Amino acid sequence: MNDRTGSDERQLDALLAACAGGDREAFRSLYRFGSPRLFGLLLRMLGRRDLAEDVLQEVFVTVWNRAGDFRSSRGSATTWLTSIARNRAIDALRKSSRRPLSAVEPDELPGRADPFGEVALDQSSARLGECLELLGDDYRHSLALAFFEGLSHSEIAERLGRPLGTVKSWIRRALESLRGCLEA
Amino acid sequence: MNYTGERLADRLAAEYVLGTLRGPARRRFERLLEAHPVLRAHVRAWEERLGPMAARVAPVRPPRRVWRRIRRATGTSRGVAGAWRAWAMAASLLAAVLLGYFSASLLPGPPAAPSYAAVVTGGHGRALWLVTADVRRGTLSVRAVGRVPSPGRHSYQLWLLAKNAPPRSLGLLPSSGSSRHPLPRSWLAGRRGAVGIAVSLEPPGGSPTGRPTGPVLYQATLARG
Repeated sequence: MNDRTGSDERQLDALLAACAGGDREAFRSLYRFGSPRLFGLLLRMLGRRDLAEDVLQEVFVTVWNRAGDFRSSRGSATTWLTSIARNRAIDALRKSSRRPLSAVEPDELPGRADPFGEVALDQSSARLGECLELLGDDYRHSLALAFFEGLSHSEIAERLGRPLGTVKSWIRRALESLRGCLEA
Repeated sequence: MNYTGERLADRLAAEYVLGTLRGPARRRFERLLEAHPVLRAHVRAWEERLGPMAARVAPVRPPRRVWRRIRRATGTSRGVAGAWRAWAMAASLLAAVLLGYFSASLLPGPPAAPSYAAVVTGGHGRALWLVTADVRRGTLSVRAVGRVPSPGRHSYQLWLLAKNAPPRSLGLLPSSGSSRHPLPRSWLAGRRGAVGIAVSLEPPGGSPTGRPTGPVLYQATLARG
């Protein structure tokens, strides 16, 4: 499983490098491989199909124009793509009205129930899963709402019916223990 | 940056990546990022830490119109590359006739499942060939995307690897340009699990035995796209 993930990652790296050289076939392949994962994430964060499609388009236009930046950034290709998608989604959330959840069919929202309950997909994800397990439920839940649904501090506080200050400190401490655990 | 500043930078980077740094504070932080490599390093570290969480979301295939819009927006659509496409169409038509293979459709399709792709990489992970298998059309296309080392007086030969079966020749590989190979029907019918491709160095014109005889130089997994 880890081998497969590693080889997928190398393929994405190579595709991005080819995109930087203006290779359209590589761009097309990159879209085929990369888009379903990113689209699932965007649907989750934005809760609106039309908006998720717009942002996915923006993401790949950005990727095509900035593929050359990737080489120098040294991280993994998946992480790079994910970061662009999440940043664009957060910008879109700021500009658009808050998701009318009714606009999305329930089966279009992947894995809404328990984002941390699924089987870890690769090594880094497995380690992260272990570290997330060590967090208290409130910490973990707050992190999940921020990461997967793009909620702000005050939106999380509202969702959980807790004071804003409490939620802020949960998230701060959750991030600190996560870092400590991942570096251990 | 002193210790307190370093801690603050790390905290802001974490909340920026998580997405809880919002509004004007987020904008300010993005402006700071432009100017401060140290801050960018913090952000990158947090992206690597939190990014794998995204793997927990089930993938959803986007509708085809998104890809059409992306191609228009990036100028990578057929209109712009008209001449090249026309040439590719003619070449593929010729290949189909020569190989006695009748393709169901030569229309360049939008991303449609199922398809497979692999990037054959050489030293330092540099891409050499881009291999895409189109199951609907029953063809495998290979394009040299990087500077492929000259095989000298030898030939590069492409092999299809499948579970519990000997490697199967797909033909000779070009050092530049592109080629198209029909996929064996047996593979199309039974494809599942891990499959890959391999490139070996063979006598001019290819292996005389139907099996790889020279060194296997490259291998890659055909991943489903």
